[in-house]
Amino acid sequence: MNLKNELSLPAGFFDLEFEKAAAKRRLENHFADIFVNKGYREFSPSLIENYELSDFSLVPKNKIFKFIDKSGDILALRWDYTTSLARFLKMNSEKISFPLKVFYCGSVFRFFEGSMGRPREIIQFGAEIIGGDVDGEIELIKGIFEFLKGTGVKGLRISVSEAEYLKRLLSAEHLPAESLEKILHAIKCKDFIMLNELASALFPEQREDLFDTLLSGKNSVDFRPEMENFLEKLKNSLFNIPVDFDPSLVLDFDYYNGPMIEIYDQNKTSIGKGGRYGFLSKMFGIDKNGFGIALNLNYILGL
Amino acid sequence: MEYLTVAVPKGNLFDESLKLLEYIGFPANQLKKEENRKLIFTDTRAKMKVVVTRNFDVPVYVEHGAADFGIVGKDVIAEMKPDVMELLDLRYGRCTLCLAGREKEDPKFLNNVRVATKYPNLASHFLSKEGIRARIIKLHGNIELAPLLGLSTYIVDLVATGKTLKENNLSIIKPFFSSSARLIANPFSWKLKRDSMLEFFEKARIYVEERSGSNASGSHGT
Repeated sequence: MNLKNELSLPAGFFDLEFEKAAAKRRLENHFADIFVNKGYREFSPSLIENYELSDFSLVPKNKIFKFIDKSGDILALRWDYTTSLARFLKMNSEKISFPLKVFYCGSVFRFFEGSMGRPREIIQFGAEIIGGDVDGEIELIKGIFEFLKGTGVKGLRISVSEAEYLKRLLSAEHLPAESLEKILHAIKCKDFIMLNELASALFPEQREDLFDTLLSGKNSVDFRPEMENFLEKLKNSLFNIPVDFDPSLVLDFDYYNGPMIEIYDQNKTSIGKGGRYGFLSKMFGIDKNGFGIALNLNYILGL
Repeated sequence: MEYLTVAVPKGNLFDESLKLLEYIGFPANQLKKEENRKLIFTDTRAKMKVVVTRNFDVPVYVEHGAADFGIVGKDVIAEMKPDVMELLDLRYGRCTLCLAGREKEDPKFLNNVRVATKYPNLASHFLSKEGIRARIIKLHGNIELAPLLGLSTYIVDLVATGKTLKENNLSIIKPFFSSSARLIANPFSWKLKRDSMLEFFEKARIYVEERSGSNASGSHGT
């Protein structure tokens, strides 16, 4: 390695020098103030997890930084907070009373190819409520927007969707699992060319409805009453924030089981994402729903 | 209605992309002037801005929202895996990514194989699938030079007519990925400018259908 390489940072990482570090500290304090006032407690999990924990995560394994310690165990740098929280709940389930309300501020690490300018260290601020109700979830979203208003980000908007919406639209119970998987993969990759081919072959009658829903934002099947209730409360709480519908937000039906939201702004940047998840019950045997939102602070800090 | 920004690649997809833009309503004459060094072209009537970039930069502009739409080869999309909407096969710029070289020997049985390419991800995926152990050398252009100067044994590059390979005494060993031009879009632009983007997309779709009845050709390999 030459001297120039030794003295540079790998692509996707950054130093927070002086003003940037001070700005992060201010934002952390502001975020903590908001959520402590709402009865949340700080959760600061270890930066290192066992790599096997990634079996319970939606983050693809090839995006996780892993390494081997001297005893041969495969360890990983924290890739998100929700999986660490789930692991913590499983380890401490007898000591914890619900609803549990936590917030966190810190970095997660994901591997991306360097050429697209994507960060590999992402500073995330987030909040999670485990075993809460819809009002608790709306309260959490309000806290997130209270924080965002203080950051000066302009032109905030929200996309919403509901778990299993696409399953209902596609009448998925009539589709072989393999076909459904292919369709969801095409939607996840936003590959409308592949999707068109699959839809024309597998369900030509619903093809138009599917494309109208995904491209025109048309609500081709109704939301479930529970989702309507969530949406009404959300709009009443954040009356000046435009809300649109994006069914492609939820494609992992084993993980999410309710409303899902994504926050973005007029600069076409995703600022945060989250929703109601049921994987704690399915994968960890903890019979509670969770709801959480993680914000991408890299963007807010201009990194 | 707000302005739409479209990223168009220089090179072999350029002329066909201008025809598409003309059809959609953007007067593309200003882009055709050879002495023109401008990179951004605006038309107030069509409410469009067209930016001219390198092929591999188009997905970067679109993913980061600097452009709402982009036109780029499927080969570049598969190589870079950008987080963009892939909306339409424009059916021009057809070509194939191929393993090519001067050696007639099967690369599986050679040691110390070096492969020069602009597509390290696609090449490495193909080579490992084929059981070829090779070192990949990333280049940015004129890939055919690499075997001529002994930099590599083989190349992985786009081939349309095969003329450039032939002129450099290279031949195709195995084609493995078909490509054509694609219309891509930024997903957040799609939400923010849905009506005007739908209108653009619909016109592009009709253009492709009309042309595929006649003669959709053009290629972006050599």
